[in-house]
Amino acid sequence: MKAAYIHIPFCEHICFYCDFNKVFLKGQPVDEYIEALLREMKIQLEITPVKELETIFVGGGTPTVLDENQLDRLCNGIRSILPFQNGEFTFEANPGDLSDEKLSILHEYGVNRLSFGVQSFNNELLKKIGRTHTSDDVFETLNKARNAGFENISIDLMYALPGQTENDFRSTLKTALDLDLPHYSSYSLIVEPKTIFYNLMRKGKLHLPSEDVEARMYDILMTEMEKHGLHQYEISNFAKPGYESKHNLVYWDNEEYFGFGAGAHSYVEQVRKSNFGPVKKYIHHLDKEELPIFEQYKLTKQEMMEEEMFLGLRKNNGVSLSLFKEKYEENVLNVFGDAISEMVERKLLEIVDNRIKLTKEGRFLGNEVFQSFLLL
Amino acid sequence: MVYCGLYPIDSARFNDLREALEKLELNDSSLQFEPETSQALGFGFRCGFLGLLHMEIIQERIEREFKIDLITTAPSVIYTVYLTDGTEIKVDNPSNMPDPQKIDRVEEPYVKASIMVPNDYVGAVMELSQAKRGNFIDMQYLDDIRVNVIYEIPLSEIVYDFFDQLKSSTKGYASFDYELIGYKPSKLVKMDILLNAEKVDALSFIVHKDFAYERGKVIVEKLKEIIPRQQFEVPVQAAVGQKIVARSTIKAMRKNVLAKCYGGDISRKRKLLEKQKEGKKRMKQVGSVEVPQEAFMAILKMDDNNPK
Repeated sequence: MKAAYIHIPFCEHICFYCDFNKVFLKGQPVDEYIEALLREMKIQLEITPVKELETIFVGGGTPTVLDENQLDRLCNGIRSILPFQNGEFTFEANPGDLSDEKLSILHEYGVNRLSFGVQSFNNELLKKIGRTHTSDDVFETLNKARNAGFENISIDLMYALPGQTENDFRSTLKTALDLDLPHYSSYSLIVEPKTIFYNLMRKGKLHLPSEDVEARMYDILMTEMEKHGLHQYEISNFAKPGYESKHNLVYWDNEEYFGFGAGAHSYVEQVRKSNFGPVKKYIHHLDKEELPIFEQYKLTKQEMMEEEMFLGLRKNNGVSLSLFKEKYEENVLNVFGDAISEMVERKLLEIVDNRIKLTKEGRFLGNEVFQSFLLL
Repeated sequence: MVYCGLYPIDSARFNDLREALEKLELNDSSLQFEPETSQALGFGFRCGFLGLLHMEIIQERIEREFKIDLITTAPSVIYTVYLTDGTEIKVDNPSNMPDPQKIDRVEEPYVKASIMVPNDYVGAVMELSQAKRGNFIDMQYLDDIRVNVIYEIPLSEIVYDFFDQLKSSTKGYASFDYELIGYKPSKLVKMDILLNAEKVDALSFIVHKDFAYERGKVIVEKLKEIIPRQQFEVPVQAAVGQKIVARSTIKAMRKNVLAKCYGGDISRKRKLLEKQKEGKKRMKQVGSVEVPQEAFMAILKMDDNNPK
């Protein structure tokens, strides 16, 4: 166990594409929530003590909507409860939300990585997807963050947005790359149920780029990133050498992690677990000193092996045959022989240097590969 | 009687399907079946039903009670084919229709259709009946408002959704009654469908020569909508004999990959993949193309979006 995810479910605005567990900040019991959050960490750490965590990731929602006092209380609590020395400590942030004071609080408590939800540098497009920041906010916040001593900064960019053209994405990419950051994540828009976009789509009012345009955007993304020395290390992630997100690699390496907060997910001692999503319910359970568990499921060995594959293959260097053997005492080529040979034949998978990985085409059609590893 | 092919999606379940049909036959003597093979679908049964409703019920019961996922081919009537060598054969499966040069003539079953309708809708009824290759026979005014319109229509044209269309074009006022009146010669041809340049016998159907070109066009477009993108581009062609009369192309799948790891929510990712895989399992691998169940019925439903 070397990672912890912490969820802050509050937002000042709701983005049209977002289906994470979140609520409007206004009128929410934020202070009580932070106390409950810290209590959850304490209870969990008593049940499953760990020596040292290597990564902490605070996501949302929007963690940066917390005010200075709340931020201080949260970070202080995290550092006193969770055993953590000098690993990777990430905060998700909304461009425009970070005052100098907030930045210095984060820095003081050892936060050493910031991940900004930039999404696009086209202000009109930003409006269309429900973001309230502008590209100028991004430049300003990034300057502030750098001045406050943050160097390991990542931004998220979205593509295949409603009305977005290839050229538009190209120009967003250019602006992003000109910032010379060490890490970029870029996701295609997926319209999920219970989002504003989903409702628009059902009414036929959402006009998305075609699958072919989306694929070309992905191709442009990979080409441009590589050209600028940002190596793709996962389907949607690019980094300068040494700046790969250690926290996210925990998920893809199929390793265990804590998940604290309303609606948070964890993987502890072979059990995949999720917490209650509603803030009040979450707080209520912790008021009674009990873990706010909504659902839990202990994985079978078969399921663990499947997940090892469909998560591991998201990484560019794929799954190591020998590590798999070490972990499960089985030969991956025996367990998944049929799937692997079919996918190799379809040129979506390749075996190179004792590792199974997606081919370039495989990265476009990852789901075709991933699902072939599921026993159904 | 209407006939259609029933095939298990999972070929290994052929014997289960046989047992299911045998059990259903015990209390339903009108159900007929005999084994047949299709190049595209493998082993299955050609089944005879009293009508469409009967067919749907049997199909539904097999899927629900016996848990066998089925491919149902489009229902067909029995054609009488007179060959040039003087023999006569019955064809209940379009793919068994002999080559055109061996055929002297083909006869198909006709019905006498009585459609009772308020006089405002007589035009709509006639338009529909005409489009279904009907011959106008008579029109009787029963009173000031109600009219009885009588047509002779090929059975194959009313087998599927004629009554639905009739209702929708008369705001539900029409009533429909028919009786079989025997066989009449028709200019019929077999239309073959090719996926990725391979003929899919289970998609062949019989069509009137004068409608062949138009139907071919509609069907290849329809199949293009129904069959999901594959890893490679798939041409869809409609052919009469050796002649291709229509073509469309299913574009290659270009991108299908989960973008994001939802804050460590792996279970959800798994569910999504399982759903995709589940969908795939309900498709039939035909040559190198995965074809969903609906595709095999599509050739009948094509009037839905047929521009009038």
